[in-house]
Amino acid sequence: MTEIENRIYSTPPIQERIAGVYTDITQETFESLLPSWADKIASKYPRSEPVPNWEIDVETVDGVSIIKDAQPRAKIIHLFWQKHPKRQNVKGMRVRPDRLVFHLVREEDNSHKFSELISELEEWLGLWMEHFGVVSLKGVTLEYVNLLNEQITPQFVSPDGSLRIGEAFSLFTNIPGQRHTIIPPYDCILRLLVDSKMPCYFTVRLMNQPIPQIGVRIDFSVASLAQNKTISPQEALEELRFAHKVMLEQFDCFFTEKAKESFA
Amino acid sequence: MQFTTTDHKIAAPDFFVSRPARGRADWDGVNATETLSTFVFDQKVLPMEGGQQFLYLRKPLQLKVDPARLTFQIAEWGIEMECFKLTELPRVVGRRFLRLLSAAENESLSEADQAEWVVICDYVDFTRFSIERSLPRYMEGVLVGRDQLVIVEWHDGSRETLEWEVGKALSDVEPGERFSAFVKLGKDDRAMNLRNVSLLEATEAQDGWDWESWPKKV
Repeated sequence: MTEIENRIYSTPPIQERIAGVYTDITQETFESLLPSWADKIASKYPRSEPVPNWEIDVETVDGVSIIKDAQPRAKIIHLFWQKHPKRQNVKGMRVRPDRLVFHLVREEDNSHKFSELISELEEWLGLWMEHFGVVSLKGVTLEYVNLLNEQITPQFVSPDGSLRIGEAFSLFTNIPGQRHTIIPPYDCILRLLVDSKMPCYFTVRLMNQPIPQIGVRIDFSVASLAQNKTISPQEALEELRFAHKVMLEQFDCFFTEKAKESFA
Repeated sequence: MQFTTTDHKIAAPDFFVSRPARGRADWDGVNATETLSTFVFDQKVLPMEGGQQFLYLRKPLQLKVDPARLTFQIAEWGIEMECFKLTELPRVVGRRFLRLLSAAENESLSEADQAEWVVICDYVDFTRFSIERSLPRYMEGVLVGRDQLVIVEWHDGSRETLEWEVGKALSDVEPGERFSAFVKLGKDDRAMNLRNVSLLEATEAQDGWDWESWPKKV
């Protein structure tokens, strides 16, 4: 195990960890088997909290927004949560026709661990594949949502309420020129190639997070999806473990030494 | 000098907002607004009775959103709901269908309901719904064999090769034995499910006795 993989932070700014595996289930198969899947998981994920989702597909070409699909779509995203003594949504399972996703949300100072996420996948992946007749998978994603704000990282908040992001996030340590205050809205995305064969990509996205308090949201995600890819469940779990290694490496690169010391 | 965020909620004016969205070239403003406020509901299999039965739609529901009131309408089904209650739509559609079905069966549809019912029947795969809804029937038969295929001869003399999953219910029946079962029939009266299988005594024709040789009742 490398030094980076071995490094454990007691208070990383991770708000949520999300791991998913992807496939193609026909809409009809998915919808007709969903109620019995809900029954199957009810002992562990009893709280069904479906989420409405209204989609208009827009893309930006040369700075102009273009509507890709003329017909907007309304969907129901099926989300199930484990029971929690304080009725919080901490451990969740999301199912869609193309994916099985697990959520692990921060509880006060406890940002949980990757091992908790992968153990849920190990428990449910085989059952999910059997239930929905999934033969192979198309890849995985691992996403970590980090929040820098007064509650999670007070060490970077000045008395006037501003957040010294340059002290915490490497990309912002050497912004040239005299202007050093970023104002919302901002949304910066950087995608890096990790492995062209797998394929595997790492994406970092930084956005302003105005609610509930001023802060910065930094999403790290590792994806190994490809249209014609077919992998077994064991390979998918291996890819998730690989994605976690990439995540640790990138966490080490994108946060400053000062930040990492304060998370230790 | 440190790079920081602002110390209070401040946002730069979004100057991109004034640039119009571009859709298909043939759209005019009115049509674009109309199209963008009509959403396709991305679900055509709606669970009923807690998932024991489904309503299969032949075409997707069209939700007409009123952005001012944040509600949507499915005019053909006589449904209007608040947008944030979208997750309840499958249940509301199911209830609307059951209510009209019940009224249709009791011949108590109002004039307005009748028009709606005709449109709704066009949406729903009624054959599939009826098959799923039908109760199992009591049937008797003889298991002809189950080496390669599970073959049954029903009491009316018809022979049927059962799907392996369906035929599993006859695992306690020996070939040549008579049985009864509650059979759920599907399309073309094919057995989809067998329940409550019982073994029956052999019939006169089967049991090998020469009943003709028995003394006649005088």
